[in-house]
Amino acid sequence: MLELEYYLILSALLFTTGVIGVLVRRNAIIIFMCIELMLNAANLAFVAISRSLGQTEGQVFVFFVMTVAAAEVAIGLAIIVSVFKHRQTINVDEVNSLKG
Amino acid sequence: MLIDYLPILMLALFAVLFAAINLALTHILGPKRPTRAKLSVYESGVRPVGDARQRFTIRFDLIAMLFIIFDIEVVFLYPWAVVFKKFSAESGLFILVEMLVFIGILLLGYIYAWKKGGLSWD
Amino acid sequence: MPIDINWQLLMPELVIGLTLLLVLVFDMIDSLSKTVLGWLTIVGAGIALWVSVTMRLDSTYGITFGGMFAVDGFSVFFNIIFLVSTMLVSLISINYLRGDSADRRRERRQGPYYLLILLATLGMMLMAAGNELIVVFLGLELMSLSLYVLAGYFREHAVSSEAGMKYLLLGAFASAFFLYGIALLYGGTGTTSIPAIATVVASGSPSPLLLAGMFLLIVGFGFKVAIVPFHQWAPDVYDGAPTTIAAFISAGPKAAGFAAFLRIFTEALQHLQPEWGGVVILLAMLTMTVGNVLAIAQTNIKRMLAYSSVAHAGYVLIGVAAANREGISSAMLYLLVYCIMNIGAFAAVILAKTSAGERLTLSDYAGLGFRKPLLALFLTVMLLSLAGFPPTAGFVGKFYVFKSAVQAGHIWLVAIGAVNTAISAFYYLRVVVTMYMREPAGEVDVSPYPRTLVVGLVLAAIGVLLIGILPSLVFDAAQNSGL
Repeated sequence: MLELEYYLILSALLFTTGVIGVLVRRNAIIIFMCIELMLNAANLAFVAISRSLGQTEGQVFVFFVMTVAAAEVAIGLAIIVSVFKHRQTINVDEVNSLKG
Repeated sequence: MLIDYLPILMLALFAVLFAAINLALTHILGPKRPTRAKLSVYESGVRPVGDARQRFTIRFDLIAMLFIIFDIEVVFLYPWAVVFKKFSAESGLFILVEMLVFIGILLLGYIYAWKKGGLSWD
Repeated sequence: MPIDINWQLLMPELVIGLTLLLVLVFDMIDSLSKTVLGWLTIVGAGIALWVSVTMRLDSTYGITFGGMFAVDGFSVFFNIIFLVSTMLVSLISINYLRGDSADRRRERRQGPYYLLILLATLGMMLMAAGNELIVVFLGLELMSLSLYVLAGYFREHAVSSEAGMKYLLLGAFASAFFLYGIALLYGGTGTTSIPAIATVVASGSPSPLLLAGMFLLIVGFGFKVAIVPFHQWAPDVYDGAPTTIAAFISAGPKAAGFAAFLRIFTEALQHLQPEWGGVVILLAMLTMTVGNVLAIAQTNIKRMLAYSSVAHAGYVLIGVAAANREGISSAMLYLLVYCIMNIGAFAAVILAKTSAGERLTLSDYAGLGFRKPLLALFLTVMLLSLAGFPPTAGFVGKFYVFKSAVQAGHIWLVAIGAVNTAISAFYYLRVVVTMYMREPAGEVDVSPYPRTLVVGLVLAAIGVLLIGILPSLVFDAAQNSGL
C-alpha cells in the first residue's frame, strides 16, 4: 500500500489546481467546476487519512460533503442561469453592475 | 513491491509510444487534398443541417438537478442498510423510524417540487 | 448499542425544523395568503426563542448525539442572537415583500423566502452548537446555500441575480477552504471532535498539517464573516440583495461565523493561541481600518452599511484576540448588540423609501428630519448606536470589548479601535447631519408607514436603548455563557 503522504500530496495538488483555476478563469461555470475540484481534493484527503488511521469517520464525512456539493451545484447553476438570462454572458468580468 | 509493476509500466509506455508514433507518421506522411465534401460532418450521407452546438431548453437542467439532489440521498441509505442488522436487536425500531423520518422529509420536498411545477414540462 | 439522545436539549432546533416543514406544507396550499407564512415563521422563531431563554434560565445544558451536539451557555446565547435576528428580519420582510405594487408573481413567491430564512437559521444554530467539525460544516453549508438563493431572490432584477452569483462563487470558494482546513486538522489530530482535538493539541507539539489546517480555517471563516482582506464580496452582495436580506446576512450569519470560530479556536485550538493570536490581532486592525476608511467614500447607504459591518467584524475580532473569558463574552455581547442595531438601521432604510422606489443615496436623505421626523429620529438612534455613542447599546458593546483587550494587554489594539470609532462617527453622523441640516431636493412625499416594518424598527430601538441604559441585563448573561 502506498504511503499516506502520496495521497496528501495529490490532494494538495488538486486543491491548488482548483484555487488557481478560480483565480485565473473568468467563466462562472468553470470557476464553479474548480470549486468542486477543491471539494473533491478535500474528499481525497479525508478518505486517505481515515484509511491510514483505520477509522470510518473520514469516509462518513465524504458522504456528507458529496451531498452538500450536489446541493451546491443545483443552487449554483440555477443562480448562474438567472444571471445569464439578464446579461447573456457569464463572464465574471462583464457581470459588474455592482461596484463602488 | 513497486518493482513488480515494472513490466506493466513498460507495456503501457510501449503502447502509448506505438500509438503516438503511428498517429504522427500518418499525419506527416499522408497526402492531404481537402474538399468541401470531405471536411463536412458525416451524417450517414445526408447533407448536415445547422450547427451541432445548439442551445437546448433549460428545462433539462431543472430535471437533471432534481434528479441529482434526490439521487445523492441514496448514499445515506446504503451504510444505514449495512449496519442495520448490527443495531436491530437493541434499537431497531428507533433506527427504522429515523430513516422513515429522513425519507419522509425528502418525500415532502419532492411533493413540493412537483406541486410548484418543477416536474412539468410546460 | 443503545442510542442515547436527549431530545430536550434539541428543542429549539426541533421547533425551527418543525416550523419550516409547516411552512413547506402551507406554501403548497394555494388558497392561503402567503403573509400567513411570514407570521408562521415569526411565531415558530418566537417559540424557539422562548424555549432557548428557558433553557438558559434553568441551565438545561449537556452534550448529546454521541458528543456531536453541545448545548451550553455559549450555544444557547448564540441561539438567542439568531432567533432575535430571524424574528426581526421576518417582521420587516412581511411588508417589504408585499411591496407597493400589486405584483401577484412576487406575492406568490413568498413561500420559499421564509423557508430559506428558517433553513439558514437552523444552519446557524447547528454551527453554534456543533461539537464536531462535521456538524459545524453542515450547519455552515445549510446557512450559506440558503443565503446564496436569498441574495438572488428578486430574480427579475439583474442586480439581485448578480449579487447572488458573486456571493455564491466567493462563498463556495470559502467553504472549500474551510473544508480543506478541516481535512488537514483531521490529518493532524486523527479526529474531528472538538474536545478530542483539544486533547491531542494539548499533548504534543503541533504538526505542520495541523498548522496549515488552522490557517485554512482562518481564511474560510474570514470570507464568511467578511474580514479584511476577504471582504470584497460584502458591499456588492449587500447592495444587490433585497434590503431585508442584506440586513439578515449582516446579522445572524456573521454571528454564526464567529460562534463557530470561537468554539474551534478557543476550545479545540486553545493551545495554539501563540500561533493564531498574532494573526487575529493583525486581521482585527486591518478589518477595522479598511472597513471604516472605505465606508467614508460611499454615497450609497447600503454600501456604507456594508463597509460599516466589515468594520464591526473588526471590533468583534478585538474580543476574539483577547481570547480570555472576558474577551469571549464581550465578543458575544457585541454580536448581539450589533445584530439588533444593524437590522434596525436597515429597517429604517427600507422605511425611507418613497413611491418612486428605495432611497439609497446619501442625498436622498436630505431633509428627512422634517418630512418624516419620527423615522429620522429612529434612524438617528440606530446610527448613533452603530457609532458607539452612549447611552446606546453600541457604546456598551464597544466598552466591554475594549475593556477585555486592555485586560489582555493589547493596548495598541484598543488605541487603533478608538481611532476607528472616531473615523466611523464621521460617516454615521454625516447621514444624521444630512437628514436634519440639508434641504430636500425634490418634492415632499408622505407615504404611510407599513405596519410590520414600524413594529420591527421600534422593537430594535427599544432593544438598543434598553441594553444601552441597563447593560448588566445582557452582560451578565453573556459573561456566564463564555466557553
